[in-house]
Amino acid sequence: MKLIFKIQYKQATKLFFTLLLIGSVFSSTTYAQENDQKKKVRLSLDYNNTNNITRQLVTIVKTKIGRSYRGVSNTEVYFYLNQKSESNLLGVSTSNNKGVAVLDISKAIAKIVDSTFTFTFITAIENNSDYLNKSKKITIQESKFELNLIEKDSSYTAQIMLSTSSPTQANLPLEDVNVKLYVERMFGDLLISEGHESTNENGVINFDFPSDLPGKEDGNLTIIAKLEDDDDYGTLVAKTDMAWGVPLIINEKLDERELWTARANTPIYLLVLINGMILGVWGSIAYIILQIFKIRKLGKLEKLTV
Amino acid sequence: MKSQLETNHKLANDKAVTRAEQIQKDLWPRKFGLYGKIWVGVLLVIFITGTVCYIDQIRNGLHITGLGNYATWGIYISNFVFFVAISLVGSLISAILKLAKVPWRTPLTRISEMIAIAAIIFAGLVIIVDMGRPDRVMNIILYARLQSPITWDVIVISTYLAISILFLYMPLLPDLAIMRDRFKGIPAWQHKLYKRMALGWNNGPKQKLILAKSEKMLAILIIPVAFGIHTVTSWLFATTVRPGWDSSNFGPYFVSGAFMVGAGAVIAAMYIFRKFYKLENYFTDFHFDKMGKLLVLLSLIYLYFNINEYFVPAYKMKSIESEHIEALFTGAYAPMFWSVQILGMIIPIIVLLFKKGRKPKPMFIIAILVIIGAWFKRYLIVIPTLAHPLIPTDRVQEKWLHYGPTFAEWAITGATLAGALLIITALVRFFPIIPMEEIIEEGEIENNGKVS
Amino acid sequence: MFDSCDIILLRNFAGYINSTRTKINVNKKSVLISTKFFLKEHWKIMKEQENNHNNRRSFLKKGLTLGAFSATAVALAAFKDPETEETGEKVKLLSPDGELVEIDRAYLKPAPDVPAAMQKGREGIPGRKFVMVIDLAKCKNLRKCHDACEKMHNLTPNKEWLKVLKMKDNNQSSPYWQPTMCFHCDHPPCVKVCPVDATFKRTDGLVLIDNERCIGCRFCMAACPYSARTFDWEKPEMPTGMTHDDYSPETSVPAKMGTVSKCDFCPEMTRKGKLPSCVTACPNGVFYFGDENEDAVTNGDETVKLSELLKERSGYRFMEDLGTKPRVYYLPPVNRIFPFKDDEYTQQNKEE
Repeated sequence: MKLIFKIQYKQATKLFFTLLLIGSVFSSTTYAQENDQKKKVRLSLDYNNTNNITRQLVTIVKTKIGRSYRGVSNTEVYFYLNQKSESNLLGVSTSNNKGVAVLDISKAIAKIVDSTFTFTFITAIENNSDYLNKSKKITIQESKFELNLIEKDSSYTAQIMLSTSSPTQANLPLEDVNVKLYVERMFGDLLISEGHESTNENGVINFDFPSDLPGKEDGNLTIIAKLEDDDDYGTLVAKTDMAWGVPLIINEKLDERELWTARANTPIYLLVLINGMILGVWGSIAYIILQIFKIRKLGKLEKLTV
Repeated sequence: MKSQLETNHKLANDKAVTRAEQIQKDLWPRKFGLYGKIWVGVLLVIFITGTVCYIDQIRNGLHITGLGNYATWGIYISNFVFFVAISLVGSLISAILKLAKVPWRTPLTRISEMIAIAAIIFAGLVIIVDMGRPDRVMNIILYARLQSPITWDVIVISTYLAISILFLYMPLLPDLAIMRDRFKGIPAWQHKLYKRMALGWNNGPKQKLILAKSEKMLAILIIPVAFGIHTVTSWLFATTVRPGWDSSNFGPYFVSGAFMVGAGAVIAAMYIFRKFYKLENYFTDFHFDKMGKLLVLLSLIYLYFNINEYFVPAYKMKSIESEHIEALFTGAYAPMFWSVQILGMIIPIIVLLFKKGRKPKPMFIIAILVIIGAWFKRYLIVIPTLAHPLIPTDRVQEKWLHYGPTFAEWAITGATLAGALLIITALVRFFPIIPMEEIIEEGEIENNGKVS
Repeated sequence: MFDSCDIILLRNFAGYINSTRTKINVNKKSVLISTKFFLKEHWKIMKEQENNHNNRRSFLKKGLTLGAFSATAVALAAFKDPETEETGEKVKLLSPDGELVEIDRAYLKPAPDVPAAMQKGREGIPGRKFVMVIDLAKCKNLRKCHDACEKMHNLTPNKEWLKVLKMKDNNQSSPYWQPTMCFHCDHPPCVKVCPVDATFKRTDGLVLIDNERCIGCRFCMAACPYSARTFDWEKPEMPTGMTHDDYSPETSVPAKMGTVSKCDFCPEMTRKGKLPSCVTACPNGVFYFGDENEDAVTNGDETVKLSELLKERSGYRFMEDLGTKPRVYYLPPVNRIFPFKDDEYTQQNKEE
């Protein structure tokens, strides 16, 4: 009896464990199916070159939420040179709350420039738990972007020169490329040019710079020329400081004596009137109190009764 | 011959002494009887209820009131204006009537000063009650900004309080001397109090001269200050651009209203003390008659300013003002507005124009109507304006769209009124309601020749 | 009887004996030398232990206080600024539990100097004069600006600093949505009437409130014609991880009971060169914000010249005739992008 029970018990446990195994396999497949529900992303890749000093790779990661595309935050983005492989990894960056991931390659660029003067960059999202793998490749032609500020008589001209190098020729001017001129303001850059000007056959644009822009106290302005989002050349930015602005004169109304200023700047008429009245009235009150003391003194001297 | 003259002289002197004794006996402060104790008891109950609610307010904030982001000022502020208004009575009776050499004002001076002091003390306390951060009340002095009407209000109110205290105390000196010398059967501490406060007053000529000069100076000083407190209080409203407050008429409008309600308060006090202290010989029918005529005059002046204040904007009906005016004349506040104007101003004028209306009893009723009407008039000045902001009200809780004072607010307001009455009661308990020495002296003038 | 020094000493002695067991010579001289050496060592060790002991004691005293608020400072600092960059330099602190912890120097912030924060709050960002332009032609009553403001400043639905109002100029014209907030007027009626200098105008155009000084008289609320100010009628909810010492007129958080507050043009953000939260939150670019001195305003997408914008689009100010000189301009609701539509609240009130 006991033996039969034992055998039955063994069989039962065996059955139980096989069932458990099958169950886990199934659940893992459903789990894998869930994994296939990862979302798609859109990637954009741009190569930024500012003043030939700072070079960055900028990726914007967006995913569809509802009807519109929104930036994906806190996602790791990989940047590669030429091909996606471990050895070609330039770096990793995490996207901010607008979905923008930036990798600074200013120092690395010297090592990767070659005789073709072109770069191929790849950005990729891979092995991400929420999003499907995606990559984007761009090929950038290294170019020279110069901003010259010319002051002649009383006219200001901003001259942009755009050229590139090829294996065959150095300083090949780039024609018909749209460049915009900006001035740096506190929260953004103000567009000065019309916006549609392009380089001529010499790779040059001359902008007339307005003379009535307000600058800092010393008249300084930060003038920026931008070639934006070009498929071949990336985003090129040239920035210079120049005292071409109207100097800022601060005429501080708050230092004057007004009704709405701090207590240190009370209008004179109020000060005089109010303090005068207080002195006059309280002076009289003080005099009357003195009279009370006089009465008391008199009372002590003459001790007559009614 | 000589003995006859001597006898006559002695008789006259005796008569004078007896008369003085009689006056002193009538007027010196007495212990409270049953009515007095009930009165104090009721006031204390109201005061304590309000204080408990105020402690709740300090701990939990002003949200225990019915105030909100639109109705930011409520009955605390209207109560404040009411107190400042009543306090002007001191200057009216003690100063204006004195400088006008009105002879029948003598019995009324002390009670008007007591009312003035009680009112102005509680005006200051009510403002602190209304503050969101009473723990920072010292900031008003430490960081005072002279450009602000509140700073001006603080300055004039404290000045007025100082002058009123002096104006109560100095004429009290002769009476204190009488009580120090003549008052028997009182506890030792009370006797000591009178002795200390009397400052050795002995009715000597030099002292009398100093007193007369000081009183004259105080009388001249208090009048501009009195005009000042209520004008500056009116500027708390008139310096804003809100409908109903944006008026250049506010200064005189408030001051005239203040004199009117002050007169009403004195009449009510006169009647109560006459009844409970049996002072018919001092607060005579003659006094009521004269005060009645004074009240009519003050009410007519107030009526004049009321017409200016309401008719002129109603004629123009500027869009900012129109909603407010319509609310007062025909809208939500119309019942209160018309009751106040009719019962609180028109009817008193009409009734008091008749001699029969100027008898003590009807005058007492009229005075009570005037006082209650004045309290609600201040309500009508403060609250309807805040109910009509210049931009549309939007998306606030229902409670904030219609201001209604909560029980806590009423309790605290009641406590301030009870507190003011308690101060008057306390003063009356220890100091004579009617200036004894002045009455005696006037009587002597009367006896010596002039018959009143 | 034995204090810790002695025990350490004894242990050291035992260790020394052990290590030197093999080295002890029977030689008398060497015994003398080794004894002398031992005594010297003993003396050195004892001094060291004593120093350590004293140091530990004084360290305990200083460290406990330092550690106590450093621990909170760490908590606060870590909460407030997740972007704190670690310098790599570690500092040893004694935590209130008596443990020795090592924290990166970047997290150590001194206890907030409240008077200094108040004083700094009164100084404007130098050289700036902030101005805002609201394009009524683009406003669709999405209320994203209102929600962003509520989140940034820890507000409640009854405490609205930014209201989006339904306005109708007259019976013939169509209604439009108007976002309204404190206009930071150049002739502010609220600043004029404050008795304690708690609300003040700064050189950069902002009108701010010092809630450490405000006495709650609410005169400024009565004086403001635009109903821009709110009052804390009850104890406000304290945001997590904050104390009352974290308050400054530039953050306006945490709120204080019994004081007045209002829109402050987010000076905390503008000091860092970022736009106020309502400007960035609006998806339609209704709010333009910038510096009048620079003659430029931006709505996050485009930066334009302020003078040109106001001239071309006929910018006006709300209730200009009150003479308050507001710093917020409106662009009239002409050529509207979206036709007007009532929302739930205005629909209800229309029916009344």
